[in-house]
Amino acid sequence: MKEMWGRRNIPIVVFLFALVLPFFLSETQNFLATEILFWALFAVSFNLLLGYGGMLPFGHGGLFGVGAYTCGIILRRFPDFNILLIILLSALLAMAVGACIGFFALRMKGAFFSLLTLAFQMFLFSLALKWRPVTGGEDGIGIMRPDLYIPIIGPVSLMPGINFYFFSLVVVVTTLLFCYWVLQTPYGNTVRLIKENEERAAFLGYRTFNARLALFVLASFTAGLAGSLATLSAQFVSLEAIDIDVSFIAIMMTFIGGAGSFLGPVLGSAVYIIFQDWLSSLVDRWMLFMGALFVFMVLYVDQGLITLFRKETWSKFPLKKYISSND
Amino acid sequence: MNTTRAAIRQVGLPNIYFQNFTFAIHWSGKRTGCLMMSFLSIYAIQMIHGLVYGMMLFMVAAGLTLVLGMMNVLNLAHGAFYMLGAYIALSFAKVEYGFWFALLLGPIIVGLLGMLIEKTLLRRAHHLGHYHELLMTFGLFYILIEVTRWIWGSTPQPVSEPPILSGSIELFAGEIYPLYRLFVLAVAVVILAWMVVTMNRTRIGIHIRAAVLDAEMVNLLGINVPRLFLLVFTAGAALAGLAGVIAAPFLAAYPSMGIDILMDCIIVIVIGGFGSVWGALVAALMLGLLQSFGILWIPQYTMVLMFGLLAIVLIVKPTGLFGVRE
Repeated sequence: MKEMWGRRNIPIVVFLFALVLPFFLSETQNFLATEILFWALFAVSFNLLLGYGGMLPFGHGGLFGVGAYTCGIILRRFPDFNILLIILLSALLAMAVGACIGFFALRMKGAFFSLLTLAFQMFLFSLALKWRPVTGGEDGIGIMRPDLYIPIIGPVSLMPGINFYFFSLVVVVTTLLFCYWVLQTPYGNTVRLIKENEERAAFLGYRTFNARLALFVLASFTAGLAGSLATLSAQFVSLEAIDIDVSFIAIMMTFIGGAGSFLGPVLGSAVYIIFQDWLSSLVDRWMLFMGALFVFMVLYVDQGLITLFRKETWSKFPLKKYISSND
Repeated sequence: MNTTRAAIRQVGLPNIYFQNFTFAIHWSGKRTGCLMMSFLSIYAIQMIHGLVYGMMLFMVAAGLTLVLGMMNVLNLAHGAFYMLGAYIALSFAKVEYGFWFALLLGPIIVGLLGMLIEKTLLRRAHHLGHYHELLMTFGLFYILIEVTRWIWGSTPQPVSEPPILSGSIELFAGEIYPLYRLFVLAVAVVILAWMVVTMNRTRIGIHIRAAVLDAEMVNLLGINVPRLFLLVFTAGAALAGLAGVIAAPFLAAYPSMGIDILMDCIIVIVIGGFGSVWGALVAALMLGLLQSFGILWIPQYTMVLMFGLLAIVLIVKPTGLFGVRE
């Protein structure tokens, strides 16, 4: 029993929980669960840069928006396009845009990098706002989810929430596994080294700029993927998908969950979405409580909620001293 | 959050771009009899417009850039201070001479609030690193906006000018110009002069400039940097509050005005360079002029123009125009 609840097995338990969850939820709650999925993907993508690369981009939502808009634009022109190809194309375009942004922004460090990415996002936002014929301006683009074609079974409709939930789950989990695998390769270690001490990494012969750019491109790809899932989920894309808020939501989710671990942002996005939904149904001024939550988090749970699952956190807790007989 | 922002958009903000634009149209219509003359005067008028907005932007950006330069804290709540100033002007507008009371009390109230925030909250987050401080200022930004919306409502509310400053004045070549905007320009120039003297001619100014370069070293030399930082933070908040008070009569008071000015300020401090007051001044004026002339020539793409300027500056000189360090 002890091994089963070990730290290694937590992701598997969470995955199994996510597999059976939709059968117990209503349609609206399923929508919420899907929302958690793509936000989790986006927050992990953000955390690749913050937690592993040591960079804080304020404009990460711009890449989310590129993915979301690409998906919407393609689906408006070709309503029966292959859905897998659509999300792949959206992610690839976001990746290309991310490569351009990263090429300029990664020359700066610290706050300059953050603000420069924010400037690029504002540029993309103004493009989405003004380029009416393509993006629809403030009206946005409404779309329908196309069917998913599976080789043996045939076309499966994604219109029911539960089907789309499982589709998102597969896409998100595959991408998360891919990101996790990348971080376990020697390249992942290089990225960690650069975060710790970039100068030393450069002395050791690593091309730090290229390594950071590759990380940025990977994060752009996943952000674009999350964006296209968001469009498919809402069946609508508007300026909200590329707004500054998107970046800040990712920052908040990451901080709530904890930037130090891979699954921290996933926890953060679940907490954020559920908390927001619960609060907005309960009180009118939920933003006030949200703000208060962040201030509280920074003061008292500064490493994120994921630390609550760690033994070290509780061993520091004074109550433990009185409970355990030894020591 | 998304829904609230969307709601604000739907209300239709009275923003500076729109106001300038209608004003320009209005003017060109009025002087059709003398086309060449009106062409020239439109440029002149737009230039004063740009200067007015640029100077106002400078008042907000100066505090932000100094705080950022000294402590590496990007204070997102700064936009909320500006917004609070405008709402203070709104609540004083009903009484007689209310504007002047607001002009006096607004900076004091907002400054005290800034002081309280720095002393009780921001200082405790400082040892956690600047990402945490950022999150905290963002939380405070939320709280302040939400409280404002709670007290005053979310719709844009016009604030009347003080009676002495309403109406227009005749400028060069028979052109008339709203007196209130000239007053804004005058206040901003006074503030700028005060800042020049403080930064260049006083001991505190020397300490601030030194702390922007290397806060740790200044601290080691026996200067109380935390107290200095508190002072700069308070002064910056008060300046933002003052800018909010004087902005209220010509931009109206609305909850998203904080985030609007914050975005412009971020562009200003990136172009100007972190911690550089002169950079902030030059960049703010550039941005103000760019906006007002952009509206005249290519109204649809003013925002694109702004980011074009930003990109050019950063590619040519990555530390910003007057920045000395990264």
